[in-house]
Amino acid sequence: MSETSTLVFDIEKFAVHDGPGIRTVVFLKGCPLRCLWCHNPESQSFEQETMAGVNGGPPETVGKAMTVEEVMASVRKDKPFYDSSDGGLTISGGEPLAHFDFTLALLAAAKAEGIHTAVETSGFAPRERIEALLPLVDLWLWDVKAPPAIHKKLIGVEAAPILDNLAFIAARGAAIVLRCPLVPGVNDSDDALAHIVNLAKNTPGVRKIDIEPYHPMGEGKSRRLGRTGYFTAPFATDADKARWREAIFGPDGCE
Amino acid sequence: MDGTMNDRIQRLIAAARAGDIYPKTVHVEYDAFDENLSDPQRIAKRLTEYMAAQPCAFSDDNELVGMVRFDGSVEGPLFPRIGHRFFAQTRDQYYCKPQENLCTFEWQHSNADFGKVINVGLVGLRAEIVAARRNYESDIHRLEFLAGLESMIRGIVNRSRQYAAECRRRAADPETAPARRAVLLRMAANCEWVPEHPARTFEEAVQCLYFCFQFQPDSIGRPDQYLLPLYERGLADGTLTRDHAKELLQELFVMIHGWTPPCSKNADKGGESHFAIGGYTLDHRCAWNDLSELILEAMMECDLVRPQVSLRWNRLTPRSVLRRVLDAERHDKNKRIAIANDEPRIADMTGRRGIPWEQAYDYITVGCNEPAFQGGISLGGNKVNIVRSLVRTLDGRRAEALECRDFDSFYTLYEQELHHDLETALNWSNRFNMLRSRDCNVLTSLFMSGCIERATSVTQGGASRALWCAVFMGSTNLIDSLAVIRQFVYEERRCTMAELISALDADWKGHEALREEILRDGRFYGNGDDFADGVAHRFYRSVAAFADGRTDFFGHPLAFGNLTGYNPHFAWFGAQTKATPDGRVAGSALLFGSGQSDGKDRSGVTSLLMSVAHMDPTGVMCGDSIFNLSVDEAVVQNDESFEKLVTLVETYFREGGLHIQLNHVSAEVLRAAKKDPDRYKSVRVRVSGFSAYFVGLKESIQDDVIARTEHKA
Repeated sequence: MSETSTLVFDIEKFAVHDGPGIRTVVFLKGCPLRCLWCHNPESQSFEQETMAGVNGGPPETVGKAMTVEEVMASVRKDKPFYDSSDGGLTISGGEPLAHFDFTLALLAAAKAEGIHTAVETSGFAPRERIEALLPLVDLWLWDVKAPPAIHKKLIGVEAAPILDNLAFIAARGAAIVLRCPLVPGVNDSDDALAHIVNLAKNTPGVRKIDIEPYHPMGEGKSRRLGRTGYFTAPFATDADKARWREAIFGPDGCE
Repeated sequence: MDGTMNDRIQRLIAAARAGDIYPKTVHVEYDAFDENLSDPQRIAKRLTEYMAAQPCAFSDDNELVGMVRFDGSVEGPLFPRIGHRFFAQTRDQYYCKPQENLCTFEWQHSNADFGKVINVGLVGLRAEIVAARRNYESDIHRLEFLAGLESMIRGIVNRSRQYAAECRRRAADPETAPARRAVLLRMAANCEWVPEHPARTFEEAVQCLYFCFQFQPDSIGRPDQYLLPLYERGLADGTLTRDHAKELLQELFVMIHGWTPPCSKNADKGGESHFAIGGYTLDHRCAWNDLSELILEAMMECDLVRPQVSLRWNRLTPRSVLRRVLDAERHDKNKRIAIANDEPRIADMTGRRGIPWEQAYDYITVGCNEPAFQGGISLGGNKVNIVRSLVRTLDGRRAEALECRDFDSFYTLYEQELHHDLETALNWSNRFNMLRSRDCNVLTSLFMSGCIERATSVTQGGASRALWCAVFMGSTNLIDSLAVIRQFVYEERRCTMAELISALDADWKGHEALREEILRDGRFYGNGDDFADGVAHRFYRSVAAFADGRTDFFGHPLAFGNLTGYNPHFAWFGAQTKATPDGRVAGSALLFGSGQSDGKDRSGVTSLLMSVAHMDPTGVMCGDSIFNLSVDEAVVQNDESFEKLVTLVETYFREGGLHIQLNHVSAEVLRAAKKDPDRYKSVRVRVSGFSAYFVGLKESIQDDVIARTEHKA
């Protein structure tokens, strides 16, 4: 299992936004979805890519084939930090569930070494994969990208199978954080915000809702990948954020 | 600013920030007769006359008094060494002047034992003089020195009485408001009692400290320890309130800030004012107490640059205390707060250096965060260009270097040059100290441990507590260079030693591809990678092997460090140093501190912290070493991620890290990065799940990020 490999495009240490405590986030390259606003455009393709250099510097190869053991060698170095902060490993992407064998093996390796595990996912994956991972995942960081009515239009797939998967893990006692990328004027209508609130209310096991305000900073990376037509909108304003917080967390805006 | 802040303190702060709060010095003509007196007697006599002639100046807002500034006409305080002739000569010859591109002479600190004078008073010091006299009955020089000290005590008491008289005079002025009159009478009573006698109240103790600071204006040591008994007693018997104690501390801090006048080129720096809170008590308990907290509160309410403070962290320090200090740190725009780890430092002092544990447990911080002792002197202090040893190996011993067939034989050759340079630096340091030891000091010597007992001036080896330390400029360059030689020449054989040397000789011209390859594939220190970190271990073991069994000429064991002070030695040495194998081009600055730079740390902050925490397996670097860490300002400002930062720092300390100072990556840094992307390659911006090098963002987005960072600050 430790020979299993996949393309990794970044390993981020001292990640503080992707689960509890101090974490190492392993970013796997390749995603079946094409979200309009994706801020990591280099995460989409399952192939190695070349990104033009920064400020005329040498070009950068994105994606390095790594085995589970190679990733673990980096992850386990921070064990003292996980232990003191109740942190651990987060597998992100791309879409980790689209790298099923690797994700399964990496989670098993981390659990074997007593490391807390989280998976950040769109939830768009066959049920049996999710079922197989369930015992190995301590925390699911589950994306809520859009309400069902506009899901297909923005994300390219229907919301229903994703919501079914969420209900499935919730019914089996999974710990869940809902992760909500919000793009002003795109997926932040009152209905969309109500969808998030209802989902949180009706799904047992939801510990927390993370609002992820839109920012256009993926543009630079998109350009360096030689792509054109990257969707950009202005940064979310403080007023946008205040409205989201109020709609989701109530008038006092607390989580 | 805290709304509860006292108006009086606010006015004192405004005055200290606006102008020189010291009285003008009054010139004094000394009579020629005293040329016949011995050095100590003459100096004590002249200092007494000098102080008596200086005005007793204080404002209507002061409740503490004692300011006096020395004009250099007599040997005054040992820091900043006003009037010391041979010190001045040493300084003219060596200060800020890199000798042979190897070392310079620098400021050295000395710290009065303020706690002792508070507890025993000058009467207690006089009793020690009387006792010491019996040991030197036939030693005329020592007896003269002791007579000088005793005469100095009379001069100091005289000066405190002058202040008392001035307070009484103002109290008697019919213009004085009744409330102020009562205060002035209390101030007079304080000055009539301290520093001559042991302080009986917290207010007397702080008055004593304020007054005696003038005679050695350097670190105030561990005030949260030596002021604690009187603080607790005052609270218990109702003679002191917490607010009044805070106010007294604030008035003290304003004076310490104002000790450096606004016209000084060091006016915006923290320098000679560092002290310590927390740490261990002598009976091995966590020393953090309510007074430590009060000191921090008092500082945070004052918009001052000085004093600076370090938390002494150790295994008994609760996380809540670390969080408290880091929380103050993140809110302190004047950047006065650092944190140091007791564990490796005390272990090295009591172990390798053989310093008594009672002394080691009581260490303090001074200057730019150097470890020191109350009543102790700092020796050495020389900045050493450690990269020179490698340049000499590759240039001076080129034929031998080219013959090396493996890294071990190369390293053996290198180690000879390293030890040669360390020996040379130690010799320089001894020469500086020998020259300066011709100075005699009777003022500061009174407050230094051992000077009375040994009847010897602190400048001449009188201090029984001392730390010797020299600091390296460029240790990270050196470690990376050795690692590159090991990797590229001997293990991966990507280039020969001859090719590497020609590239360095040509300052990489015509060898750009090799340099790029090194910068891209080099296994550099700071990435939690055993390869380069192993080279670091080997290097520090060599340094420890040199230090082992050697002492300076006063007999103090050696330690090393890596900080830079006010002066950019790293730039001066760098300017004179040719290209180095780590990809550094000729003339560019060397690195200082225990960290990494220029994007060579690519494995994240946790890996960097692990490398730094484990860099020195010997403890020899437990001298004046520092580590500056840049963290994303957003991480610091968000409470949830801030909590993770607290744990990050705590874990780094538990792993053995010695010191940490945080630089928040601010709008200022981002602006600099925009202008000079090559220097700031590793600055990253992060937004939940997204992270990218700042220099890779489009200009308009960079501007937006800068604007947002500013907005948050």
